[in-house]
Amino acid sequence: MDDDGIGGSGYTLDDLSDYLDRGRVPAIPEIDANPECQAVLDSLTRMSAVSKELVDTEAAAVDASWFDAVMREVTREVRAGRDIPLAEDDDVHLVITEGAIRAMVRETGDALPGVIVERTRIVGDVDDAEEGVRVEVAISVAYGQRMRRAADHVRRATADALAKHTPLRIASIDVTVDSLHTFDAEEGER
Amino acid sequence: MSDLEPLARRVDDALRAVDGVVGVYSARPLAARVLHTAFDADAALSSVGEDADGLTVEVSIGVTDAAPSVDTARRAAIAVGEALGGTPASLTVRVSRVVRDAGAAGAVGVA
Repeated sequence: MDDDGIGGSGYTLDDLSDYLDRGRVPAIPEIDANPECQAVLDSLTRMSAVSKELVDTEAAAVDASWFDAVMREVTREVRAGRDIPLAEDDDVHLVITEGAIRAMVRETGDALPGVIVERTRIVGDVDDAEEGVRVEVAISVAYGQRMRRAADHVRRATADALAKHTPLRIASIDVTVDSLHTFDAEEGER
Repeated sequence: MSDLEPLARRVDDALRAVDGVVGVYSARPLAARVLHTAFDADAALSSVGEDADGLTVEVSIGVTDAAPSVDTARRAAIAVGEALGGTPASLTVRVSRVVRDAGAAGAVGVA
């Protein structure tokens, strides 16, 4: 994030957290009309749900520094970045932003049971159709889940999402289990 | 308000009606967005300009992941073309978000 706030909105991560706590009312157009703020708000919502679950089940104290580190990554990843062409037709240019792709990869992983995405990276030249790009995803896996299986699920879901929504040539998707977190086996995580 | 502002608002409305579009966002570059935030928060979200060759239109949308992004972007481009009433235009449709669950998109008020 820079001095202009997330996505140039003028609002910081703390501001967005407060906005979420207030139920997003009264509506703030600068936030609601900003895709980067919206991506951060969605991540905050998912992370808050997981944190509450962990506290409610007394499974573990939520590590605030870990939470902060993940949210810092989110604010970095949602930056729009470059436009990647989806299709060109005379005077019509259809593009998708790098930020949208990174946020989609995160959301895809977060949607899987027992998985929280910590970091995502798209490495390589998105314009290089020969080499393609490498996608790196670092995840936290719920204690008791098979790490290998969780990583495989993330890899497959990410590959499907990228194939459906982007023109990128994917050289590889590297999933790293970076940490474990606990959750209640009966209640589930989310 | 510029002469093109009503047209930009019409483009915004057209985008909101497109199947698969779950959010319409500010299409202005970051610097302009900061100024826009400070001085004119109620301005249209889509950017419509004019030069000797015709209109230049940029829009920024969020799309549901139910359909491929390129398909929704194409539908958005058609809707914008209709909103422009056939006026020649260079159009950029920017997909700025792919939303897994449209109901949780947080795009209330803009979609």
